[in-house]
Amino acid sequence: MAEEAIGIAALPDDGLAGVLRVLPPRSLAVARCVCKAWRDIIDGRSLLLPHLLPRSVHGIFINYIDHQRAHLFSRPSSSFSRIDGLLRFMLNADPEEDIWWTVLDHCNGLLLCDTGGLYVCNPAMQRWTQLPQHTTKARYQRTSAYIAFDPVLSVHYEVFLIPDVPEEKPKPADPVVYRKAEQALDATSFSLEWLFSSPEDQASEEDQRHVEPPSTIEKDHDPCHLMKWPPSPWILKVFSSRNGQWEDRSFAREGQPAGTVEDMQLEKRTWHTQLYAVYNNGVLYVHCRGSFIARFSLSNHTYQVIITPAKGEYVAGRSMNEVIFGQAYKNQRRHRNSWRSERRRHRIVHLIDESHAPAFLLHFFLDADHLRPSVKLTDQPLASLSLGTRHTTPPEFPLPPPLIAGRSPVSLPRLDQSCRVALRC
Amino acid sequence: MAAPESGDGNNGAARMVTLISSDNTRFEVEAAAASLSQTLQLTILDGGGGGGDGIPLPNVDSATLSKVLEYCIKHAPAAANGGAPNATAVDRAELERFDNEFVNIDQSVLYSLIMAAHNLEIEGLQSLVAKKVADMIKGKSPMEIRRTLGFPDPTPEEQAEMNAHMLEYGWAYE
Repeated sequence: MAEEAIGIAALPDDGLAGVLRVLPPRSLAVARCVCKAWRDIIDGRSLLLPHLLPRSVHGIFINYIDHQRAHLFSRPSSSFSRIDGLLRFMLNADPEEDIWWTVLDHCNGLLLCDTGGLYVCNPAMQRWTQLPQHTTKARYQRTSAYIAFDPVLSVHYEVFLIPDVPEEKPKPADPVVYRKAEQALDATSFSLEWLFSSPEDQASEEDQRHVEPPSTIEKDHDPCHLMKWPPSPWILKVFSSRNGQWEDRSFAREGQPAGTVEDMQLEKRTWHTQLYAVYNNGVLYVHCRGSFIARFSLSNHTYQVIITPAKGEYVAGRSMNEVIFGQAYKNQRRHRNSWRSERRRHRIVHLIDESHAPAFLLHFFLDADHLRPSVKLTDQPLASLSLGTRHTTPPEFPLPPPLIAGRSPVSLPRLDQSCRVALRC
Repeated sequence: MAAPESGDGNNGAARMVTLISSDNTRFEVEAAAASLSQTLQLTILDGGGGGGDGIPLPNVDSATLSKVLEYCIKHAPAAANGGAPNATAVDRAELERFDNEFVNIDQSVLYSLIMAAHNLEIEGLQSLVAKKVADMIKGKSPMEIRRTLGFPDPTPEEQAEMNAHMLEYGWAYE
C-alpha cells in the first residue's frame, strides 16, 4: 500500500499541467516563479500566452500639441492596482516637476515613450526599460519609432525605426556621388548608408574614375530627388528585447515604390507628432510621409506600398482583426467614404470632421475589445461620440468619465488628434 | 425484444464489472459508473471486466480507487443523461454539494486522485480536483505556494532564481 504521502512534485507533468491550466493568469504568472519544473511546464505548453492578450480597454493615453506630457484617461478599477498615468515609476519624477514626455506608439498594453530617449513601459505592471542609443549613419534623417508586441507569438517585443524621406541633400557637387546617385536610380542596390555616408567615403570606393560632371547640378536637379522611394531593400533599425540591442534589418519591396523622393517631399512634414502605425498578426503597417502606407511583413522581411486615396494625416488602429486607417476632413462631406483593399484586412475610413478623430479612435478601440458588436464606422455613430463640445446623446459605450462629460471640468489642452490608445488589462 | 435479464447495459439489472486495485482489492461496480473512465469504457465495451476476470488497475491503490468509484457512482446517472441537460436544479445542487465535500480531503489524496483521474481519463474528476488544487495556489506568493503544497525549503540558488523570475517576468503580464 502506498501509504507515504504523495507530494505535488510526484505528479506527472500532465496532471500538474491540468492544475496549472485552470489558474487565472496572475496566479499562473506567480506559479511560474515557484520552481523550475513548474516553469518548464508553463512555458513548454504555452499556458500563459493566451492570457497575455488584452481583454478590455483599461484606459487611453492622449497626447497634446501644447502640453508637455500625455494624459491617461481611465475608469477607476477595483480589481487592479491603480495605474499611474504620470508614469512616475518610470520617470521617477515629482508630479510638480515638469518632465516632457510623449507616447509615441503602443501595442497590446506596452507603451513606447519618448522622454528624450526611447522607453518601453508596461504601465499596468509598472515595469519599464530604456532602450540603448542606436547608432545610425543617417545623420540628416528623421525617424519614427514604433513598437510591435504580440504576446500570442512571443513575450518579446520589437521597436522599429522608420526613416522619413531624406531631407538634406548629400553634396551633389562631387561627380562621383552624382554618378552613384544615377546608378541608384534603379533602386536595386540602394542603401541608406550609402546615401548618408560622407562623399569622401564614396570617393574612396571602387569607382575612382573621373566622370565628366554634368554642366550644372542645380538645386532642383538633385539626383536624390529622383530616387525611388521607399528604397529596396529598405534597411531599418530594429531593437529586439530578445537580445537587447539594435540591429539593421533589411526589407525587400514587393511591387511598386510610392514614387520618387521628390514626390514624397511634396507632402508637408508633420512636426508635432509622428504618423500612425498598427501592428497586427505579424504585419506592421506604417503610415509614411508621401501618402502611402508601408506594409512590413516581419516574418519574411518584405514590404509593400499601399497608396492612400488622399493625402494628409491618418489615424490608425485595430478593430477585431482588421487594421483601420481613418482620415478626418473639415467640412467636406463628399469625402465620406471608405476604402478597403487586401481582402479586407485593412481599411481606410474617411471621417467627416476632423474634430471627430479622437472619438473615432475611442470608438473602434472599444469595439475592438468586444464590448459591443462591430459598429460600422462610416455609418454615423461618430457624432454622438465627439469630445466635449457637441455631445448630445449619451454614448452607449462605457467611456472614461472625463471624456463623456458634456463640458470638461478642467479646460483641456488642444488634442493633436493622436489619441494614442493603450493599456488594456 | 430485448430481455431485461440479458444484462445489457442500462436496463434492468445493471451489468456489473470488477476492478482490481494495485493492492489486489476487488471492487464490483456498475458498468455505467466505471464507464465514466474513458480508459475503462473501451475495455467494458469489448465485454471485459465481467464475471471472475476483473480489470486490473496496477496504477491505482485501493484507497484511491474507492474514492474514484465513489465519484463515478454519484456522477454516473447524470452522465448517462448525456451531461444532464434535463437534470433538475435540485439534482445539480446535490451534485455540487457532493463535489465540494468530495474534494475536502488531504493533499496527498488529492494528488493520488489527480494521477488516477489522469490514468483512467475521467474528465469530470480531473477538472474537479485540478480546480481544488488551483484554489490552493490562487492568490499566494511563490513562497506561500511552496509552503502550502509542502515543497522543501528552497536552496539559496532556487531562492535567487525565484526572485529573479519575479522581477524579470512580471512585467509582460496583464
